[in-house]
Amino acid sequence: MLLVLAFVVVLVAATWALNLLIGYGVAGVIVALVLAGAAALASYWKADAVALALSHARPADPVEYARLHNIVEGLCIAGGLPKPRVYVIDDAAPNAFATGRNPRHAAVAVTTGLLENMTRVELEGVIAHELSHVKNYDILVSTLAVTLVGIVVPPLVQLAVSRRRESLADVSGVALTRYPPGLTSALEKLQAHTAVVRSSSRATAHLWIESPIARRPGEGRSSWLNRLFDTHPPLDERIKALREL
Amino acid sequence: MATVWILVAIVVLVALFVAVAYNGLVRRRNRIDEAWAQIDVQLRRRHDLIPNLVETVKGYAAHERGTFEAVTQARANAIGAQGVAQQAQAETQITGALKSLFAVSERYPDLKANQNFLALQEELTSTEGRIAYARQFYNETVRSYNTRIQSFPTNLLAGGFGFGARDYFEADDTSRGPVAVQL
Repeated sequence: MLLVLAFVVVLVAATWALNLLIGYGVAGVIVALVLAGAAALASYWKADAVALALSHARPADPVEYARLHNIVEGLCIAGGLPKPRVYVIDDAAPNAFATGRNPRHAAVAVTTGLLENMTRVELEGVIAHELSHVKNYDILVSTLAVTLVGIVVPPLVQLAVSRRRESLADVSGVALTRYPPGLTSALEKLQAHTAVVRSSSRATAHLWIESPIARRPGEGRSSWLNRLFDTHPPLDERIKALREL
Repeated sequence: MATVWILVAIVVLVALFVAVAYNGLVRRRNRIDEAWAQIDVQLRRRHDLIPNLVETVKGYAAHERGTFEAVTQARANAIGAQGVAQQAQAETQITGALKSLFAVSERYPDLKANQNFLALQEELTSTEGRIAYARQFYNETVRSYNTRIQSFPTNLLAGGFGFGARDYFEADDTSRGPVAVQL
């Protein structure tokens, strides 16, 4: 809540400053505030529906995907979270994402490729990472970051925020499973798989466990300039960080 | 006049602090009770699954009598257990007996291909995980509550309102050591 309050204060200050420069009067400030507020609220409220529709996710059948449901339930008990809705995406590329404005309205989606490629322990590592996004209110954080873009915060800061939240979710995910090797070996498998999820876009990139955007061919260790534009920290750095736990 | 207002402000602030701290303690204490109930729910779920599993395995491996009886006996002990310590011991016994049962089933390819058996195995494996997770969560809620009632300034009123420290769920010595699998 403090975050939202700070957000509104920054918004007001920014529009005020802009107004002084351009000079539209008080009416201009109010119109700008209402527009920005409505946009932020709409994207916050509908974040899950939009993300799920964009990635062509379908609800996971509790019988066919019993293992997935069981893993989600177990980890929710560990984290004291209500069980989110569970979705499956028909895609051979292994990946997963979480969405929803708060733990009560959360959803977790995984690709069929992830289910086929991961062992139970690895799958637990990935799901724990996703549930940590829910628990840490990362949808709220990223919505605010996106809305602030173009007002005061440059896009690079938004990307930096996204990278920090990914690392945080890795660590809090491990706090749920108490087993770092699970997520480490899952990330190694993701690294080995170069296939990229078909139905993804830059708009939802920050939600996935691994960036769903293709790395350019021949791009090995990314330079610091390239990294400024990534939504996720490089996989080998995430693996290295987990090994140090 | 000014001093009166300052006194009123101080009284209001203290009352506000007491109310917020008290509600926080109640919330945490209820969370512990909920977490404890969750462990029971998962244990009961395991007890309910066992008879089905034993029936399924019997159909394929009828002469592994000793293994079934160990599982059924462990379940009966757990259901009749009195008190936390006895319960914990009985549950450890179930875990061991189930491990031997699944080890035995490895020798029967027909059984391992049975959909019903696979579903039960998945259910029991995830229930074991859930029991462990429920205990982990219980200990986390206890830690958060104990830290709160022992730290300043909440400790000043915790005693007065009757909030005492809670115990952690600890694995007994038998469940800490390696599990003996009889084959």
